[in-house]
Amino acid sequence: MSVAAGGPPDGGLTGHGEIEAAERRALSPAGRRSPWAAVLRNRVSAVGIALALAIAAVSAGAPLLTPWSPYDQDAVHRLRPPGGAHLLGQDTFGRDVLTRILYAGRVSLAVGVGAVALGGVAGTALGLAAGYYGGGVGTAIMRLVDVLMAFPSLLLGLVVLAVLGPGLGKLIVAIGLVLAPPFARVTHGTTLSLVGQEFVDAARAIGAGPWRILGRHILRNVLGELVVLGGLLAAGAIRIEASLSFIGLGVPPPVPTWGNMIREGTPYLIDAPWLSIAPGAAIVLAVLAFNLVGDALRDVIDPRLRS
Amino acid sequence: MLRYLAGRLLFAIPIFLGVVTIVFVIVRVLPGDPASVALGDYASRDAVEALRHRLGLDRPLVVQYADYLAGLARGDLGQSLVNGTPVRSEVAHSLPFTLQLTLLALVLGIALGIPGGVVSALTRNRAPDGLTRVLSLVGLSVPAYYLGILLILLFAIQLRVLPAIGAGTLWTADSVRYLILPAGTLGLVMAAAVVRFTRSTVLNTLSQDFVRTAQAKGLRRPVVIAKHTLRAALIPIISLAGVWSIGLIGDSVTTEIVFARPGLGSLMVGAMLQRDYTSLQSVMVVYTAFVIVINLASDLLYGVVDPRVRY
Repeated sequence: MSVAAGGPPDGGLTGHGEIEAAERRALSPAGRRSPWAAVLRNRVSAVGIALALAIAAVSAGAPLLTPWSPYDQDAVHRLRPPGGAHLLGQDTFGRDVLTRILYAGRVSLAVGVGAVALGGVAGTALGLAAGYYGGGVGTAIMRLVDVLMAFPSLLLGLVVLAVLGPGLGKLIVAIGLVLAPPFARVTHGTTLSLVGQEFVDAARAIGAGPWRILGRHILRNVLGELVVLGGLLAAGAIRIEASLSFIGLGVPPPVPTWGNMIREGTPYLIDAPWLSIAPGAAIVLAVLAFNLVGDALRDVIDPRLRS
Repeated sequence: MLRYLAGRLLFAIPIFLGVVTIVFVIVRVLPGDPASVALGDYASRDAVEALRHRLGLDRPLVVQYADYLAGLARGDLGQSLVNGTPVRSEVAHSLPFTLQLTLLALVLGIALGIPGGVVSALTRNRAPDGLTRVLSLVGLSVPAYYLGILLILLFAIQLRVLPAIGAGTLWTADSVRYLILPAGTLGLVMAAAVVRFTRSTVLNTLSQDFVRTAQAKGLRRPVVIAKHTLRAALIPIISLAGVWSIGLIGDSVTTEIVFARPGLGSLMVGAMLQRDYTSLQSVMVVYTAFVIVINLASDLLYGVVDPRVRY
């Protein structure tokens, strides 16, 4: 068999056939496999996505799922253990623990989505500006980012929230501030590597202004990385929210959050451990779900990292 | 080596100054005047003004800032707004407890995490790997204070073998009993991250050309793994040690609260709840100094394990 014929020396035909098939798959839109299909075939990712959707659904639909409100008190049955009508028992005011967990999910999800959106927009804007303009302003922005990243994230959130005071909006702002520096760093790095490239020069040559270049040419190339980062940081945001409300900051009682439920449960650890165990399990499930969603997003958007 | 060290130190100093400045700015815009908070609702205006004057709060911010920096340079962390004690002595009292806790947790996290990750990588897709991966995935999602509560329920309330709260007397054999649960909590949480990263790094290294070469030239598998794979894999692992330690410090705050341990975290949360902002500011500065020292140390360690790094 002749190597000069073009095929690989060992069984040229099959090799060729495979390449052709791959080319056909890649070229015809119908035959191309969607990356989402690959992710859903990965059972772990599918479980994570389903879990996240389920948590969102039961939090949003809480009033439909439980006959109680998270504030209904029942002094006679305080600290009643799980079982019967109250699946996860009742707390120190006789409030239904399951109901409070479902409603608390709303706070966690609002913070997870809100803080990532806020931190993502602010951090991306800073990173784009620093990377595009460079010079003194760029250096100043990135040194600020370095300094902010020197703080352990929980401590930075804690000090900012101590300044801002309690409330959901302020919680989102505080955690958004904690999440902005990583977005700025990723955007800055990619922007720096892109501004020198020919397509940016070409855009500039046809008269595109900085807004157009940043928005249509650079941001579009960073977006994938940002979505991946956002997915992973959403789990972090939920964790930080839970830790802050466990410490006693953030959304004030009586509004339930998973963190403040654990906090209120700890004095009763001996007699009523379910008060702390149940909301903690909710935190674990939610953080786990968002971690898996983050991994799935990474697999879809950045195939180089696919394991 | 000395030049490298000096370079890293020169980089650390502006970061530290930046941290001090940011904390100062954040804390000074705290709502509520600390003097009126300290004196309560019924204090006369004159009394509040007098206290503001005594604390130096009526001076321009720039002067207060310069004063604060000068104090820091002398190792003076100011006075507590609540009880007037020097913050430095409170920090000096708390710091050993936090150091004990985080150092033991760091050792545990590495001692459990690296071997766990290596075993997981070597048994890829078999039972031990599956078990470690599930455990580390769950471990990455468990907040430290929640794991702490579960361990208290098991070891202190059910089995009654270890104390749930307190710290005992520092540097006595007795204090070790108080250290086991909180340090175990932090160590396990950290190990989850270490296992996951070690596994992927070792797998990545195993597929490198130089490992195949080592195998091809007939070296025995333990030699290939210990001398060729692990040594190379250790480099990226150590580069993340700083990041993990910073996470550990953050988690130590909530862990100290759960176990009612004295320490910087308890000091900080107490200061925050009492609006004692000189203490809050100083504890934050101590924490970040901690982080900067850790980053410096991991940079140096990186230079030691990676022969390609030239000082």
